[in-house]
Amino acid sequence: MTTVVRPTGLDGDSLISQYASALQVKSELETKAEYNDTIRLDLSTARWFTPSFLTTISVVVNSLSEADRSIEIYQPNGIGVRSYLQMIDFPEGTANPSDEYSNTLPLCTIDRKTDKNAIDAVDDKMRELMKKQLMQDDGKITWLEYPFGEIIDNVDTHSECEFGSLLIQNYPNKEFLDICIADDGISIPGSYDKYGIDFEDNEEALRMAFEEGISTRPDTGGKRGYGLRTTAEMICSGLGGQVMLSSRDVTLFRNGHTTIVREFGGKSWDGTVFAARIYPPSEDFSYMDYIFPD
Amino acid sequence: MSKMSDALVVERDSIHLRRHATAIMDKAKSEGYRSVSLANVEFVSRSVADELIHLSEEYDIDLEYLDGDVGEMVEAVSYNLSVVAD
Repeated sequence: MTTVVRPTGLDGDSLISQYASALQVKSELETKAEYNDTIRLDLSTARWFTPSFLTTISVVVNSLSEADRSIEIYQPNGIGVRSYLQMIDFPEGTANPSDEYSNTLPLCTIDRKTDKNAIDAVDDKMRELMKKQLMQDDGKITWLEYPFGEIIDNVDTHSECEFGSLLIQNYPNKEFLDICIADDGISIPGSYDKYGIDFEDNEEALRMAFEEGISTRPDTGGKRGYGLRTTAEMICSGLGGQVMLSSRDVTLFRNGHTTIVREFGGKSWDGTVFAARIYPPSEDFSYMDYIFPD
Repeated sequence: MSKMSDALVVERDSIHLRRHATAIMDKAKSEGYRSVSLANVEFVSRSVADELIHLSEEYDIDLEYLDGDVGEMVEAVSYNLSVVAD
């Protein structure tokens, strides 16, 4: 028996709005997968996708496929959007990106059930592709490599995920790029739980990671986890961008110096999603100015 | 040449994963190197710098050729760790 999931709201470039659509799709796919062998994900009316939708749905689809649920994708009607999804091989993505990508960056998928070091290929290949496509005039990509390195290390070190997905979309005409990495792991609160670090609720746990830099490393008094905090500071204060961090039923969204909590009608992401919109740096930008937590 | 005076030369041009930093330092320790050379490395993440410094102190293995961005990152993280320790 086939059932259809038809998402709405895929027509603007808001990271948060598209993430909200993704959570709705996730909820429907997982509910319908309980009773149906085949599910049709109808993207025909979608006019735009951000990485916050594509990576999360890639994780969901790959996870359901691994559980022998068949997910058919109805492609978008729009030629440009349709060809983009085909170019990045959505939703399956690639575990070992080719060097041949020249104008787009691939949807990278991580399957740690089959390869516990699956992140290594993604890490190495994506750096080469970022250098090839996004290098600034000074020959550096540190403004992007710093957040990339921190978030991919967080997935590798803390997530204990089975599936993950990473996508960078560059919009040269809009003069920004979006990055998102999603995993189905133990979540940020779950990671703190594992190391016996107390927190009042899931929101506090996310703020501990995002704003205070509380580490899970037991030998440091909890004060060595500054990667996520400094990444958010660099992107939002240094580069004028936005950062979204979602884990379990809490999503933090930072724009400039303001962080708000977003809720999505009780829908949640079991692992962790990090998404950011990053603007290229000015000439006097130095990422080293942001690696101190205070 | 005695292993005790050799440096383990890291061939990677960037290190993002803490696990890779651990593997480098563990290899240096198990094979008797007194130092690790980062001469070929263009970039290390903050997490990696943190791990290199932590294991450098624990294993008593020096970090060499800390130039450019790598040197600045290691120095900054090292300073930050000393502030936290105080």
